Amino acid sequence: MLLIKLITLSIVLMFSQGTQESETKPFNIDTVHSTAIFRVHHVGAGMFYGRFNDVTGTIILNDDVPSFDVSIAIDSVDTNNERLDSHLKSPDFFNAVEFPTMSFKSSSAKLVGDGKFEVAGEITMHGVSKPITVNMARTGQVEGRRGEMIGFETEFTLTRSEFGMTYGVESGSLGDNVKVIVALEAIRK
Amino acid sequence: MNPLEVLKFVGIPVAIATGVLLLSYLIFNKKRVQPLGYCIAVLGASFAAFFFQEGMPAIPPTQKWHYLVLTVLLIAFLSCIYPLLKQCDELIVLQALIAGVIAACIMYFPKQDGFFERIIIGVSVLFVSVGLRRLTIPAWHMFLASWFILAGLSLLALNASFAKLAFFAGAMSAVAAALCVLQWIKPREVKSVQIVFGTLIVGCAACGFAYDQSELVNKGVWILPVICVPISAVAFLICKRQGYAGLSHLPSLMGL
Repeated sequence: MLLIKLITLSIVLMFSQGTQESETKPFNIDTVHSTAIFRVHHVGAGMFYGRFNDVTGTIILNDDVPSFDVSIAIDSVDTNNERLDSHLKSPDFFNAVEFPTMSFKSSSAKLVGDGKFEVAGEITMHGVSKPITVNMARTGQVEGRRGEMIGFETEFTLTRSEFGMTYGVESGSLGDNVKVIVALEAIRK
Repeated sequence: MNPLEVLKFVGIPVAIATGVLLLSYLIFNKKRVQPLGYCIAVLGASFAAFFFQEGMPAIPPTQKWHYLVLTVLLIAFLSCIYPLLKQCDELIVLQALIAGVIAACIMYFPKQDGFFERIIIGVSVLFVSVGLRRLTIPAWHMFLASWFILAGLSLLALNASFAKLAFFAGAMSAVAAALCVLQWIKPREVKSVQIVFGTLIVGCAACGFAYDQSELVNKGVWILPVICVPISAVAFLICKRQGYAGLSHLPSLMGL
């Protein structure tokens, strides 16, 4: 009798562990379909846009609440102008040689509306880490041919001088506030 | 790059160097302490050139290229001490050697922390400093060479999209130009100053080389301004005997 109970318990435990594993199994960010766009005021006139092409990382859903670990390669900065890209990679701005990535790692998230989350975490850029809270919207979740897919989007503003990136701020050639839009698509197989 | 930035990042260091040197004419009259005026002028100017761009230098620095300024400041400080010590005053090669060792130990930029790279930096500072010393007859030749070469490095940094280094090298080039004119008008003893300009030249070249990962400037071009100083010094020794000392500046001009 005891043996039967033990076997039953083991099966139940194994099953529940399997379910838990599939729930916390991370979604891998799809680099091709994920984007990070930035916008900065140029010489006090126009708005200048650029993007980062290499966005990687993972998203974990825990009871439908997401946690993020996102990394962006500075080397992938793309402004449609090679010289401008080189300048952005130089120590005047991102210093890609010393700080090859910027990252965001969430520490907590709470549901604030239909598919909308307030995500708190730490952003690291130019060797400086700062706490940040962003509003993240779930843009969709489907069971696709490649696996389970999920999408998130956020929009926030950074003050680049807080990260030690001061070039052009004082002279007004480039704005201090940078609007960032990050759209993520992630897949779980 | 707007005119106000040029005035702030280049004009203020030049004004500081000129002011300090003019003041030193009144204070440091003895021949042995005359170099102090130049050393303090370069120390103050290099600090100002960095401060107006990046603020107070932190220890340890937040970015590796700041090591360039910290090393220059340390060596400029040492160059202020040498004229006060009678025993060290004449030991030009020893001063250059100490500057080389300090540069090799402190001034390291990304991907330059191997033993071989350290040796090259140290030896370069030694050769460039001694080479600049050979160009001090008359002394304004040394400032002229430093002016040309630092101007060349500033242009290279600008080409490599590293504006902060371009401003720093440009400011120090302008300081060398101001000191050149002042030395030409009123010749004074300049012992020990060469180690600061030697470190500046090697430091700016090594820094530009390290950060230009996209190779906007051919890697070999960063080395030219450094090797043209020892070549100028050798040319000076050869040409002096023939009575054509002025020709020794050709390599420096080629460096520019």
